Formats: sequence, structure tokens, C-alpha cells
Amino acid sequence: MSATIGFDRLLRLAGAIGVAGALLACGGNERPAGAPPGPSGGDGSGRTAGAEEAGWFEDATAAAGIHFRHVSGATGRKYMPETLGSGVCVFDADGDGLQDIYFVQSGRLPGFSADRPPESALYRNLGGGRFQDITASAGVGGPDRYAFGCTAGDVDGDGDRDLYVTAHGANVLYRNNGNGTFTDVTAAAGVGCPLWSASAGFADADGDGDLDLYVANYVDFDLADNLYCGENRPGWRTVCHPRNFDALPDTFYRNRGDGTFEDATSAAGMTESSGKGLGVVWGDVDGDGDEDLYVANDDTPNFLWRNRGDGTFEEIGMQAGVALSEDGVPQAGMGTDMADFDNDGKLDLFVTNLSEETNDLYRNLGDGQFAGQTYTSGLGAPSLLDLGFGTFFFDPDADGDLDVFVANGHIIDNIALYNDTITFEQPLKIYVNTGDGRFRTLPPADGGGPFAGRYVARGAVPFDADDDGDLDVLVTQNDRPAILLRNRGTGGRHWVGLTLDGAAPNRDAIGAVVTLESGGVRQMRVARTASSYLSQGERRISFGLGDRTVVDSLVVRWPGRRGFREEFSVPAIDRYLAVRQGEGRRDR
Amino acid sequence: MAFEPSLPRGLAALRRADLVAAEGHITAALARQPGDPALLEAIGAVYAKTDRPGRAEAAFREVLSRRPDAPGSHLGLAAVLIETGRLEEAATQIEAVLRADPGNLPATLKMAFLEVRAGRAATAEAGARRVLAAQPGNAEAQYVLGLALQQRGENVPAETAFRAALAASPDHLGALSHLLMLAARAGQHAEASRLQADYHAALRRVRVEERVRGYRVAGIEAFNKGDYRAALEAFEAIAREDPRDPQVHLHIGSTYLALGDQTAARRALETSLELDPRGDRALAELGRLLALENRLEEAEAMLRRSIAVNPEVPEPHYYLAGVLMARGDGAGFRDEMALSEDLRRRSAGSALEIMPRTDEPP
Repeated sequence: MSATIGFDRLLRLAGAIGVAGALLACGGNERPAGAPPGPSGGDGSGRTAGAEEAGWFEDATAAAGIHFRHVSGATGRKYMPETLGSGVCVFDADGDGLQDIYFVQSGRLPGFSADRPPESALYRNLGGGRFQDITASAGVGGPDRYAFGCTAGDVDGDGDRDLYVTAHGANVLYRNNGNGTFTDVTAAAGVGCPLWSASAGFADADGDGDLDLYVANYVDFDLADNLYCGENRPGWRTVCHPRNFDALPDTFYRNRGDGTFEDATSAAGMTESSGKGLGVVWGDVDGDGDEDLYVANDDTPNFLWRNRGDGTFEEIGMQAGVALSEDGVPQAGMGTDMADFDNDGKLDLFVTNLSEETNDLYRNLGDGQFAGQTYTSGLGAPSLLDLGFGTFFFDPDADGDLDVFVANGHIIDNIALYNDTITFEQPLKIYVNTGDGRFRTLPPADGGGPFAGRYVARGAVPFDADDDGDLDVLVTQNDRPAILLRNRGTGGRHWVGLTLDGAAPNRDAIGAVVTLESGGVRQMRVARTASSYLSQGERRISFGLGDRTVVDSLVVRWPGRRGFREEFSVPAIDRYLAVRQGEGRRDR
Repeated sequence: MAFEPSLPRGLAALRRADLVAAEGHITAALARQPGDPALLEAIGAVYAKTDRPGRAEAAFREVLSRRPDAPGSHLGLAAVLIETGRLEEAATQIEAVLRADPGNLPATLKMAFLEVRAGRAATAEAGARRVLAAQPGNAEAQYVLGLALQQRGENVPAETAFRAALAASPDHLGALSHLLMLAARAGQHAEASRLQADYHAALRRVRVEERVRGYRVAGIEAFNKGDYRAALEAFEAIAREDPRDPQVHLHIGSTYLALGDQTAARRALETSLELDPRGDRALAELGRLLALENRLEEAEAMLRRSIAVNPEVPEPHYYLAGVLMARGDGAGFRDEMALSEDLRRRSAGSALEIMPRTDEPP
């Protein structure tokens, strides 16, 4: 027998290829019952039975009252969408100041039966690390929408956060009614992109104060035309490689200022359509005061859309050095994040990729140029067996530099038939910043019980779920339960958290850049919406101070065309503080 | 399928990339001579080429436990360790080879590559230059030299090295991507744009399957609609672009069969089998062709060959049932039909949609 597989083998074994569609464009609890158990049996949580709870993180899912379980709708027919969902968003849905959680549900595929349609789930933060499922009353379940990702932001400037959900099929915008309930306003808002959309993110792209929307679309996959991939033997069928399908063009929606949108993809110059988009993150990579955009594309070069400052963009990924692997190969971009990991005042980029590829770290050199630091940083080699999805920079030990979290899990559930080393369920990883531009892989024992487990992880975001100042982690899985990893503490290190209050209509100050200096260490954070994979972390900004107890300076560059810098004093540490636009000292 | 226990046959099969035969011959030989280092090293190479790095590693380590100086196993193990992300361990294996044979150029280049990965640009550069002194046209050595120089901030000589890599290997994606980045950093935007276009053209050449996918879609669509002339046109376009793709010759063969041109069908199927001697689908189609020619004995043999390669495909069992019925073997017919139906029931779809599916035996 031959176990030769790899991509080429998968591709060549594709005996019939579906009808290629024309390129499309966009105009205009235990939930649910009947969900199948994970393939490995057990509760599918990835938790290791009897694992000693020690180390940095502990599994707090059940204690938090979270019971969300993703339903892929898989039946063995290996529809491509079944293996890629789904995401999670953390945002204050009910305006009580606490960060709530929205889990995105996929659902039914042909041949799959469920007692009732699987639904997405909104969990209200009750405080103290406890959550309550309020999906029904909030009206955001979206049953029978095969959804993937989400992003939240105040699109109509009324002071609350609205919710956008992507899907294989029409996306949906839920307007926040301001009372913990939502209304589907997709049609009126004009953002119901019918393509297979993955990540989406809000940002004030044109500097006019309101939030625009970028939607990364994936590939032209038709459920009615399901290509066979894998060896032609019972049990060996696999989901297909994206190279079997055409890329779908991404969509950029410009906010008209009233919460309705126009498709401005062409007007903004965002017409490069070769990418199979999965991950998005907005940020000012060239430091010129406007929002640029990075898109992680699967099997195609990643995009870096440089904002020209006039509401139009140019794609510079290849020339900036952030489109490919260090050896010039397009990789399977999944999740992405943007942050200043080396505290040099510039936003660096990280992308997760397929197994047998590395995750990629691109260090910002300034002037829109990046250097690949994947291997020299120590992030490359340890990722070769992992298939990374959700990812983010964060400082869970509050030592003042950013570590990296990666949620792993393969897309091919029978990968063991094809490779004797790569596994379907994979470990979560933390790469600890050693402060010299390098990272070391955190040993599982140091990470705590959840790091001894294996998962089919997809979305992941940092989130102080219990408001104790250290960053916890939310992870979604494919066809398995979501998990909340509680941070056991920063070991006495200090921190300060900020909630930015910007000027209307961008009250969450999306796009603000915050620079904090303490003891000669200067750190930068950005207020943004989506990142990671199909997901969005909380809007509060967190700085680790290590053993320092004084913040020497805190400067906020507020977003927008008339953005300006203000300096604030930090009267106290080890707590969350509100930072209000216009109340600081204007910085010249 | 039985294989003769033979290392030379196994190595010959390995050289012609017939990994199933290689594994068969070597495994059979190992059964007679367990622990033989040469056989273990050969089977390690087969495992490494068939996505079984775990078994490859075990085989190479077993060789090294018996013959610690075996350079092939050190290098094979190093390759597996690189593939699985253990670069420092891989370097140790390569160092062992270089200690015994300092002039080993593949080992020197592999070590230079690991050095540049580790950020040790000076030693990487030295290694690459040693290889280039002996092999000035070695594209990979030029590329590693370029990476080392770029790592040290020596962008102008790095560019020279990348251009040399490109001269030796015009579709070298790594060299092209670094050249275009260097041009962009130097503010040479027109040159960067030109290199970007070159990169995309090279990528298109490298990814043949992507380039011909439109033809394949069109061909299969046409075939399924019964427009065999259009299907043939599309498949032959693929064959012109990618003449070493056994699948397209199989599809051409199937299409000629549908057109009733058995001579052309045989030619195409034999080409497919020359490229992939263990192509079970081509063997099955050839069996079907022989059955159509009423050469039932040969048809049966060919279909059994197909089944020996992959016993879990329903179609050859189905065709064989028809042949056996025609030969008066009612029991054989029933057995093969039962097998075919069982496999169809257990298969979630089939990769053989190009073959017409009928409910009647052929």
C-alpha cells in the first residue's frame, strides 16, 4: 500500500472537478440538541481525563456556565465548509460594561439531521467569570445559517455595538437595539454578501469617523457539486484542497454614516481578487495615521492593503515582504494578528498556516517594509507539525512583552491514514517572548491542564473573562465544545487596563494607538475589531508592567482624519481605567 | 501483490519513484534479513517519501544504532528531523557526516541552510561558498548565500547571489521573492513590479495543476454531458501542458473508449501506465477495453491486477463480474458483484466519476 499523499496526491486523485463558477461579487447549553459527539468519543472537549490541574491556565468552561458546542454538519461527504468553522467574538452586547461572548455556529449540511436547527449563541457576562446564554432573548441565534465568523462594532454611531456574522451564504448584520436585543438589518444596511465569507472586520478606513467593513471571501464551493478528494477507498475520502476551487473576491463596504453601506470595493481600489481570504486584521502598519489591512489568504499570497489616506488602497503584500513564506511560497494563511512584539513602536505581523508549513512572523522594518523572522524568532520550526488557526499576541504574564498563542487542529479528520506523524487533534501552543526577538515554546506542563489536551481548535481570542486583570483565552473547536482557559494569575506582576472612550460615532475609538512607557520600556497597543481567525477579542487594552509600579507616560493617538495625540496620567495600576478623548493633555 | 525479496529491485523501484514496488521488495527482503542496515536504510527512504516520517525516523535510528557511521542514514534522519521541526537535532546528524567526510557537498549545503535558519549568517555563508567553489551553478547554494548575505544586511551582494540562483533555476520562487523585496526596499518600484510579474509567471509554471484546472473542469463537464469530442480537446490541452500527468492520459483513454476508438484508447491508457505503473484506474480501464474486445482472459488478468493494487475500488470488481459472467463463472460473478456493491455502499462518493456508472454489468 502507498501512503503517499501530500497535496499533489490529493489533487491528482480528484477524479472529477465541480463546475467552476464565474467570479462572483457582492452587490449590494448544549446547543443544539442532537449534535453528534466528536470523532474521538468522550466529551470532545480535548480535556485529558484525570489531568492534574496545575500550571498557568485551567479549564474554566463549565464553571463559567459556557456550554456552546460547534456543529459542523459533517456526514462523511467531506463538504469543504464542514471543517473550517467557526469563530467567536467578545464584545459588550448589552451595554453594561462587561464583555459578553458570541459563539458562531455552523450547522446543517446535506444529509445531516438534527433535532432542531443549530444556532449561534450569545452569552451575557454576569460578572465574576460567570456567563448566561441569552441567545433567545437577544435574537442572534440565526438558525440554519451555516455561519463562520463575526465582528462587532458600532456601525450606526448610536453608542452600542452591532454584530456582523459571515456565512457560507448570505452574511447578516444585527443592529443592537440598545436593550440587549438585536434586529436583523442586513437588507437595509446592504451588507448581505452571499459568497462564502470567512473573517470580517470593522475599521474607519476612510477617516470619516464611522466604521467601514472588510469581508474576506474564501472560495467558490458549491454544496451541490461536491468534488471527491483523497484515496479512492472507503474511509479515505478527505476534504479537498482549496486549489481545486476558484478564489472569491473580497468585499469592502463603505459606511454612509447612517449604518448603511455601499459596496466600495472597486472605488477603494481593492480589486485584487486572487486571494482565498480567511483571516483579517486592520492596523496602521506604516505609521501614517490611517488604517491599513492585512488579509491571510489560503494557498495564495497574503494581502497587505496600504491605505493611501484618501479612502483608497494599494496591495503591497509581495513588495512589503508579507505575502509569502520565507522561501517565497504562498502558504495556507488561516489566522493573523498584528502587534508590536518587539516594542519598537511598529506593528509586526503573524500568520498561522497549514502543517508542513511554518507559521510566519514578519517584523516591521518601517517604511512599509518587513523582514521574515519566522525561523530566527523560534516560531517557525515548532509549528511545522501544527495546523494553526486562531492566533494572537498577548501578555498573559504581564511582563511587558507580547507572547503568542496559537490554536491548532487539522482540517482532515482522517489525516492519520495519510501521515504517521501529523494528527487531527493538536495541542494549543503558547510561544513565550524571551525579550530578544525570539520565542520559546511553553512546555505543556507549564501551561496547565488544558495544554496537555488535544483539540480541533479554530477561533481563539484573549479575553479577561473574570475581570481580574490577567488575560484568559477563549477557543472554539470544530464540531466540539468551545473552551475557556482561565489564567491563574500573573505571578504578582503589575498591569493596567484601559477602556478607550472616543468621540462619536467611533466611541470605541477603533484605530486608536496607545503608547505606554514605564521604566524605560515603551509598549504599543491598538484598539481594533477582528483579528485571529473568524474572531474578535475584547476591546479593552491591557499592558503588563512587570515589577514596575509607575507608568511614566501614556499617549493615545485617537483615530480619524482629525486624529490627534493626547497624553494621560495613570493615577493607579492593577486596575482598568477609562481614557476619554479630549480629557488628556494635547500632545504637540 | 507479491514482491520478490530484493534490495536491488527495491532500490531500482525507488529510483524510478515506484514507491509501492520499492516498499514491497524491501519489506519482503527485510522479512528474511531483519535488521539488515542496507535494507533498513532503504525502507527508511521509502517511508520518508510516503509521508511516514515517524517510521522513517525509527528505521534510520535503527541503522545508526548498528552502524553509527552510516552517512545515508544520518542524512535521511536529518531530512526527517527538518521536516518535523527539530532543526538542531538535524544539524547534529549532518555534523556527524561532515566529521567523517568534510568534503560532502550535499551535507555542507544542508548544514548551511540550517545555519541560515538559525540566524548564523557567517557560517551559512561559508558553507554556501564551499559548495559554490565546487559547483558554481548550484542554485540552492546561491540561494542560501543570498539569504545569509541578506541576513547580514549586505543587500547588493545578496541580490547578486539571488540573480545567480535564478539564472541556474529560472522558476526559483525563493530567489524571485527576495529579489523583489530587495528592489522594493531600494525604492526600485518598477523593478519590483517587474519581478512580481515574473514571480507570478513562475508560480503558474510551477503549479501546473492549477494552470490546467480550467481544462480539467471543462473536460469532465463535457464528458459527463456526452460531448466526448469537447472532452478530448480539453484533456489533450492538459496533456500538452503537463505530459507527465498519468491522470490526464487515463481520462483521454476513457474518452476514446467512449468514442469507440479502441486503438487510441489503448495508446493513452498505456501511456498512463508507463507514467504510473500501479495506476489502478488505468488498469481497470484497460481491463474494460480488453473485455470490449472480447479478450476475456486478458481482461480478467488486467482487472485482477487493478484489484491487487487497490482492492477497495468498486468499479474493477464490477467489470470483473461482467467478464466472469461472460466466461460462465456464475459464482465468481456473484462474488465480484457483492464486493462491488459493498464497496459502493461504503464509499462516500467515488473518484471514478469519469467512468460511466451503469446499473447493468458491462
